[in-house]
Amino acid sequence: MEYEYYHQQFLIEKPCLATQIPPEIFISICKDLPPTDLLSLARVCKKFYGYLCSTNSLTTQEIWRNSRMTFLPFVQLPPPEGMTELQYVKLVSERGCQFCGKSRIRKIYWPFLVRSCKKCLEERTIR
Amino acid sequence: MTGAPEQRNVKLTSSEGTEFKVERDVAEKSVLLKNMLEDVGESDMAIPLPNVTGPILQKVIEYCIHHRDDPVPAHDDDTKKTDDIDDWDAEFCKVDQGTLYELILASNYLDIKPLLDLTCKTVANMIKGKSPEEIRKTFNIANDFTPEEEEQVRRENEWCEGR
Repeated sequence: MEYEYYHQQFLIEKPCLATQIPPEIFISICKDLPPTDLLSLARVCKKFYGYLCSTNSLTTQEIWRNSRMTFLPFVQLPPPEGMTELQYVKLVSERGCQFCGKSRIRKIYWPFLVRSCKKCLEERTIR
Repeated sequence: MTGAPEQRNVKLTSSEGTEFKVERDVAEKSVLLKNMLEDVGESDMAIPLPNVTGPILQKVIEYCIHHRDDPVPAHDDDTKKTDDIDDWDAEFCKVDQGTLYELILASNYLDIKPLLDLTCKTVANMIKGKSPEEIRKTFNIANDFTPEEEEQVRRENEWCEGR
């Protein structure tokens, strides 16, 4: 009986464990994860989503900055003004035109903060 | 400086009141204890650690004894660079998730940076390369998104790679 109770307790407590992680520990764990894994983590549950995708959270900014500095050694400059670390990481490391979806596009037009193919850029700008 | 013998034992009490005796240099792997010992000086009083259970304290001490002669990392980033975990450390981390979680909390509380890095890295390795569903299974996490929210979060966080 007692064993069963203990066992049950354990089963109840187990799911809570991972979602009870305090922010400073969550930050430490994320230090060793590249951006793609962070995005998978964000989709696990609301708690993780909050840690990883909040727009005005220092925790979110710190996690993405750490991941960028470690796993994207070619992107050491801070994000341009008005851009979050997450948007910045996605802009520089994803591929494909953000407008038409044309594959293999990696050209970023920094004044507009977009990754675009030539055609889409021309359609959207005035000379 | 006192003229006391170099290695004095330090007494620690776990949350249940179990007493542990460790040599001072082992205890000083913990920055929290190191600072405490410097403040208090020589004392026979046991240091209470109400946040750490006996079995976890035992593990932490085992780690500190094994690593007692390691150089103190000079810089915050030093520990980050070595990506691989050595055999002893890997074996040390082969524990159930509850214990691993307790070890993370204890190393954070006791301020033992190399142990915190090791345990967090072990968790990170359990996450790497997994899909959200696989992560949920690994850590027994309930999916608390509604189907609509889940779809939105998926679209929002999709990684575009040469679609």
